[in-house]
Amino acid sequence: MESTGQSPEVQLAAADATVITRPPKSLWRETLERLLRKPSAVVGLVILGTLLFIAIFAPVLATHDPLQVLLDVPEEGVGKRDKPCIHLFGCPGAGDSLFDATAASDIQMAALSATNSLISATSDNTITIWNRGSGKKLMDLQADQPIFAINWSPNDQKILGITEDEVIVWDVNRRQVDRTLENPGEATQVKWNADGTRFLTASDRRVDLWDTLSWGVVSTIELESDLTEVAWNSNGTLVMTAAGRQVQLWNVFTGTAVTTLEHENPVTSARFNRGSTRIVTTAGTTLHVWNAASFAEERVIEYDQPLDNGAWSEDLSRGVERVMATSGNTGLMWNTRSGELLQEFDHGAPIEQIASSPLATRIFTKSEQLLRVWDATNGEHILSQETDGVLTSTAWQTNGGGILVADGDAVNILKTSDRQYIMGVDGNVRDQFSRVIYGTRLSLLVGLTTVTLAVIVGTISGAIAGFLGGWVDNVIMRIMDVMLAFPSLILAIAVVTVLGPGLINALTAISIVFIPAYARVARSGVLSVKEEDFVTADRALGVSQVRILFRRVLPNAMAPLIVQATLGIGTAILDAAALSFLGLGAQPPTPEWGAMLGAERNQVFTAPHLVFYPGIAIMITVLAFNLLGDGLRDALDPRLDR
Amino acid sequence: MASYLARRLTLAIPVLLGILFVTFSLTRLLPGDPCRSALGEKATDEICDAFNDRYGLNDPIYEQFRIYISDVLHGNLGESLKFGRPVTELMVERLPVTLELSFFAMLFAVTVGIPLGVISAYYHNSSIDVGTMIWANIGVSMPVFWLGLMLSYVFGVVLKDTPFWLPPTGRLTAGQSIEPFYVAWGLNVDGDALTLPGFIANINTLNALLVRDWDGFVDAFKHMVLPAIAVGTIPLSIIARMTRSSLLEVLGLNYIRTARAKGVREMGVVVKHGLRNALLPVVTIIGLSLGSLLSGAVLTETVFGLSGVGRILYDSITGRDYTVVQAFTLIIAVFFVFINLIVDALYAYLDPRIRLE
Amino acid sequence: MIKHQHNFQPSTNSQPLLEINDLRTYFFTRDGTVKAVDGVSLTVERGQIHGLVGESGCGKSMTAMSILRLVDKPGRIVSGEILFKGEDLLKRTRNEMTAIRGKQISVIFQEPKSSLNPVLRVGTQLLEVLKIHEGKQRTIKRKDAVEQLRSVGIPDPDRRVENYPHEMSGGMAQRVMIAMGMACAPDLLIADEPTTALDVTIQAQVLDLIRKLRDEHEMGVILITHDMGIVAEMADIVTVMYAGTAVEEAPTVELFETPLHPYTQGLIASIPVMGQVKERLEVIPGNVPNLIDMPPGCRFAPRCKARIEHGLTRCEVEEPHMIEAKPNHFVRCWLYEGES
Repeated sequence: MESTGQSPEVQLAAADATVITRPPKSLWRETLERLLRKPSAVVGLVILGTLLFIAIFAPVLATHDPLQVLLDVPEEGVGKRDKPCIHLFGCPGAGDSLFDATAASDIQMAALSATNSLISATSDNTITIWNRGSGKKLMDLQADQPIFAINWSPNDQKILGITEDEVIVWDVNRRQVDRTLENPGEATQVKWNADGTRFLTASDRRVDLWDTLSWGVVSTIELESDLTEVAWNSNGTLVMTAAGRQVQLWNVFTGTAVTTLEHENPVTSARFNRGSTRIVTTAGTTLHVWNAASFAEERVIEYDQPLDNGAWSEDLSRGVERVMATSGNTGLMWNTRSGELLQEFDHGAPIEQIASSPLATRIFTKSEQLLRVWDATNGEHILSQETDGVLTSTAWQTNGGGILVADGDAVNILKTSDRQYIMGVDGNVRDQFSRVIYGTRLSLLVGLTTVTLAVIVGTISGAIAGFLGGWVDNVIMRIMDVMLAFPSLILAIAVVTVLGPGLINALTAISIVFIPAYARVARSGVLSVKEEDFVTADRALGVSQVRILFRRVLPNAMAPLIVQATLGIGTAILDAAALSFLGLGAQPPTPEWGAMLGAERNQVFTAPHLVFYPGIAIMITVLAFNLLGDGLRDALDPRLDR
Repeated sequence: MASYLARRLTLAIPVLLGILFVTFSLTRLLPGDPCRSALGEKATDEICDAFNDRYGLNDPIYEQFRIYISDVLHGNLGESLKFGRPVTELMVERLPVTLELSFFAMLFAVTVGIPLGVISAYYHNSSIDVGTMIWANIGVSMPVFWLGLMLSYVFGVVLKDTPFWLPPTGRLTAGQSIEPFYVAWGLNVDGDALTLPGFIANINTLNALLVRDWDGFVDAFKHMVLPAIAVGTIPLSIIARMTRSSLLEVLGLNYIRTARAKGVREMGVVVKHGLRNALLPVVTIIGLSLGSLLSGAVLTETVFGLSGVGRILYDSITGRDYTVVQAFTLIIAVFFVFINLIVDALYAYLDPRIRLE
Repeated sequence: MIKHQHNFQPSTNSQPLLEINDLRTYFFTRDGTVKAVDGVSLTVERGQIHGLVGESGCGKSMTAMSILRLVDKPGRIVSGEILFKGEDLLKRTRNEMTAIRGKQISVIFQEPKSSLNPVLRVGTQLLEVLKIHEGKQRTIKRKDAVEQLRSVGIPDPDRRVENYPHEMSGGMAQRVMIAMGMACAPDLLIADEPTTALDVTIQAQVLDLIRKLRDEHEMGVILITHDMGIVAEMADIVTVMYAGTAVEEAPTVELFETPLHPYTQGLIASIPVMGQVKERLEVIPGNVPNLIDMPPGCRFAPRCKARIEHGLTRCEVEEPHMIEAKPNHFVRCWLYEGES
């Protein structure tokens, strides 16, 4: 009962004192706990973790090389600004239909227009035309008699058709017959030349060359045997005919033969290559390659079986020069220069046609009811399509991504490529998904470096200003004020213009622009602590200024600095993107999100996916940093328990 | 109050001088030859000599600076090196565009942001609060130019045939124009006197109101909507968050308790007692936001095809048009300093405690 | 120690002005339920000053806030009755409570300067109270505010009406608070630590003012404080609170002459008395318990010397009840209960 000389915690209270005190945790641990309690901060951390993961594992996650232009490489079926194609969401894959339509009755012949935007199907007296892109049927063109053959003009404007008595010219735009001409002697074929100024009609022994100015026959070619093949060369100066054992080239203007290529056996096929620099002919068991300028025989290839369907598979820009032919059920491919047999394709049924995709990465072989697609480089079988009806027409699309197939009364385009373009393809035909993935690296780098630099410089100046006070403080702070008087982006633009465009310069500019903010934070942090008693105590004890600065003052200014820095990373990323958007930051082809957005800015109405995805990526990244910064702010300031 | 303002004004002067200096030196630092940027690569040395002489670019630097300062003080901002026109003319054309845009953007930000912040603070930690703050966070994280492009896509293309369609570019529908008010009022202005009325007339919405051209007003307004939303979204989010946190802080203070204890209705407590105090830092934020408004303007004007200050600043910086860069940067910076002064004054008016400092 | 006479006479009206029965206000926090007010009952008659005394955190302010139903989340009044003029305040609607606050029941708070809106003039804030409650009956004019200031003894009220709170001293601000509280002549005034933030000399003035107003208006006053000296001077009846409950209640003189509860005894013993010679100040050992994890039994048990001296075991097991140990003198302690 008497008060002892001890502290109030006397034994009698000790036995049942239920005083609970927790041991103090370290500041960081406690901050982390408080941070994790806030759901938004957790979300921010998760997003950041994901972004970091994406940045580190970008090469694994990306589907393509971000800098690779997909036209240059065996990636076919890809066009500028293609919309995103994800198989899971219904984007067609290999073997799926890109276009599907039915004609009124069985189709005799189907064709893609020259620009591939229209599809025609001929059945009996009618030509039905669809829009390839929308799939809508556009028109029916009628003739009085069954149509033997049609040919699209080079610019899709006209269609030539042959019936028993007439040669009909339809005007596609006006959806009507432009003119009818008399069929000169039972012609069954009709072909335009490359620029649409002339066309030819061919019957068994006769080829008539027409002129579209006069709409009359300019010259006629008489043949001694039945015609196997007839074709224009690519500049419309020559017409090639194959009849009997001869392949002849005729001068279009005079109608006289320029040269005759003699063969030992009847010629089964003859074809120009794409630039009309070479001709391939097959006769008997040999395949001949001729130079189309000098008409010299470049190569003869022997085979043990009769050959037919000579065709070319070339991509000169990649140095691919191959020639093909068929023999019974087998498709064959040789190297044109060396004559080496490269591939044999076992079709399994008598091949009627073999054709190479425009960039020579794939070929198809077609028999009566079977179509097979092969990889041209390694001979692998890609897909097969069996049909119930007879396959009447097959042809590659111009971009090599699909094959036009007509069987029975149905016409469709079979997709041959299986690649997915998750975010579509940009204006330079690069895969946007991969670019967005790689862009993560850039953005994170940009944010971290700019802020780190700005924090270091800013903190040092601000701390010095606050700590030393006086005129040093005044000068430094006036400089900061002047810098802050300019809107940050304008100042950044000015600095970049002085330094020159480029990502590094943009980084420097942004760092410079951010410095004043951190200087201010550091300075105010220093000021608020400077007058505290424990600092005065230190001073009185003779501790050096520098030590005071670093051990006492700075740790207290840390909290707001950390918060500002985290938030600043988000702003830095936004500013860098803005500079790139304006063309002042990262230059193409760097996959920086802002630059990607800026390049496609004018196409937003037709290709919004090219603006959407990079922008969303920026937004998510900045959001993550903002959430984290907010969470840190609340966690570090115990006062605010919001 | 007056002495407070006077003190702030005097502090602003060295800043202004600094701005003048920085603007001047920055333009001189820009690499590239202004003469050849303006006249083309083929300009000969003689032509460039004459050009430089004409614009005083051959004088020594300190001389140029001196002339520059005296010119500015006399109100002469020089001629654009590229267009050959007086900068003031360009300003009359361009400044109103940005002002109009900034006005509507701020209007949007304030009229939507403050109520949102109030609601969030009042229904603290409810789903409304959380939802609004998430949106505010998202708003602050969006790149302005992306928002502008997406908005113009949605409203210009997706909603094309609906009544919600909004024009994606320009200030007025092609071919439309609004009669300048000074013409409609029969005022006879030309030459130098044209400056101020011309300036006002270029603010399409205002002009339309002055002339009572309601269709014109609606047209001009419709064209402002998307850019204003794009530019204003970031300040909106900042204002909403600031209002919320400030109000939350205030609502926990003693005098709120007193107000409730006095029998003031909840609405009055929040608005009259709470908001009146909570809005103080928001006012500062609004002033600071003007910086982000202008940055946003640069980007948005590019996206929406408006020829305003941002656009011309960008063009003249990259085009080495010294005089224009100097003049516009100066005007903007002065503007800011001014706005900051006004904000300070407003703050002092609203918070009597500050006046003592 | 006791300087003033207590002229309290119970009014002829038998119904007490305010009757609180077993009030419980809990705060439901993340860390647990804080039982801030856990079974408090008290009565206030007209013209009576009822002192509410206890350490910081014992629930006195929260009791006051509960009366006005100004309890913020995460707190909630869980149970009990608060009968004001016979009607249970806890059953009234929000609008009714708003009408009562400031008019029939007023509060003045501890820190006067921060309890006034810093951006509004003092006069405006005064007029606000009048306008809310009496604005419909008559036009409120500026001179009403001036009158109010005069009535609380503020010199030069005509000028002071235009002042902002930060332009006033603490004492003057408290007078303004009192003026606001008294403006509509309330029946009950709750003064929550009205003088704690003020200098001693000002303290006396403010207390005098309260007493004067009580005399003039015959209003009930709940005076909340931790200062035993103020209680001794001002209160007619005292309720002592500890850790959320009332532990003793008695008329002032009675309490100070014969404190029954060991806690009260400790409180009174710890007041330094002029002229007394001691080596050390008396203290009550230990700390106030955590209001979340309260042990069973009497809350004061861990610190109670009397328990040890008398060898009582019931204290730590069962909580005692408030019993009338002597006429009008209530206490919650096993020392006096448990004969049965």
